[in-house]
Amino acid sequence: MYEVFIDRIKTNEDKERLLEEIEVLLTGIYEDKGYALDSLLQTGVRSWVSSYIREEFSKSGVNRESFLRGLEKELRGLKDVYLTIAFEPTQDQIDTMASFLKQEIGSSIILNLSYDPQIIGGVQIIYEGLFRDFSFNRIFEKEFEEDREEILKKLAQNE
Amino acid sequence: MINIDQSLIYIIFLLLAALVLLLVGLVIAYLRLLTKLTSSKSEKLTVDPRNLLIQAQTKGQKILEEAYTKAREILARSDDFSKDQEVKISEELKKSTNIYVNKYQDILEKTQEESIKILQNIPEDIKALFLKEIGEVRKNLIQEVEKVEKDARQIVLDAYQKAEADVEKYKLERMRQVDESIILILKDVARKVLSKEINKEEHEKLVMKALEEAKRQRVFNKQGDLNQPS
Repeated sequence: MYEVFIDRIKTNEDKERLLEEIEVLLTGIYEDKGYALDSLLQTGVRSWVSSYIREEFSKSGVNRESFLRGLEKELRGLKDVYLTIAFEPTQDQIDTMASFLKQEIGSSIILNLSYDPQIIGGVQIIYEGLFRDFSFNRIFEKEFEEDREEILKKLAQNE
Repeated sequence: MINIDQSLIYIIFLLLAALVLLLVGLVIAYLRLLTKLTSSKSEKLTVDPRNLLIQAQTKGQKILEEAYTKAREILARSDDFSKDQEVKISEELKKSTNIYVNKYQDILEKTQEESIKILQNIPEDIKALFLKEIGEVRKNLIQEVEKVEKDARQIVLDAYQKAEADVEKYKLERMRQVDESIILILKDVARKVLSKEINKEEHEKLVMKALEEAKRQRVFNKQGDLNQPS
């Protein structure tokens, strides 16, 4: 019932935005004998959100409020996968990463992306409370520490 | 004084003894007379009482005279004794007084001589004592000064060594900080250069490569490998 929405959203920002839209729609359910909700679907939410919700509401026996509350609950139950990357990704790149992770973990995850150029490249991952560093910075630090004395010696010779 | 008193007591004692003897003689004479009187009662007619009285009187007188004579002799002897004793006592007294006086004078003279000697030696003793004390004080002062000098030298040396160690420590710390700063700058520069050199496509490739590595290490499994990637 909610797969369309879950597949569509990839990042935490997507999730938060959708939750805000659901909140808006819920306020309109009991206003103007339900006419307000129709109006909000027209003007208060993105078109694809409106399109999917209208489709669900059109099905027989669907309780509008229960549906929206259920969607809200489903979104809040998604697992966060925190990724720190060195660049600001394009939507395609986000989609690629999300697709990879959904395939590995399952569809009930959401990307929580952050940007830090200090890691140079690669990715730092926090999943289920565990931190893993696959960044280029880690390799760089390791190499630098190994050559640290050599670098300082060369600097001293040049003085 | 005690000897004189004793001699007087002896004299009095002798006089008392003479009187006692006289009294005893009189009593004996009286008793004889009574005996003769009682025996004459039977011879009343044959003996003339007047004669008897005269005889008794004569005898009594004779006895008295003898007793008197003896008493005088005793008294004379006692007088001689007391006089001898007195002379002896006074002589002894004189002797002892002389001995005591002589001894006292000797002691006095000796004491005087000793005192004079002591008095004469006082300045020398004091001088020697003072010199000794001054010597001791001087020695102690020299020792104290040496000790203080040594301590001061040690304190200065310690302080110098501590300062030197602190300077060395500070120098090393500063060197370490400088090295650290150089390393940080180098890292920062290297990072910036690397970051600039990597384009978006390469970034995406690096990310995907890292995610593959994470998958290989079963990071996305619930009980994944907990080791850090190599």
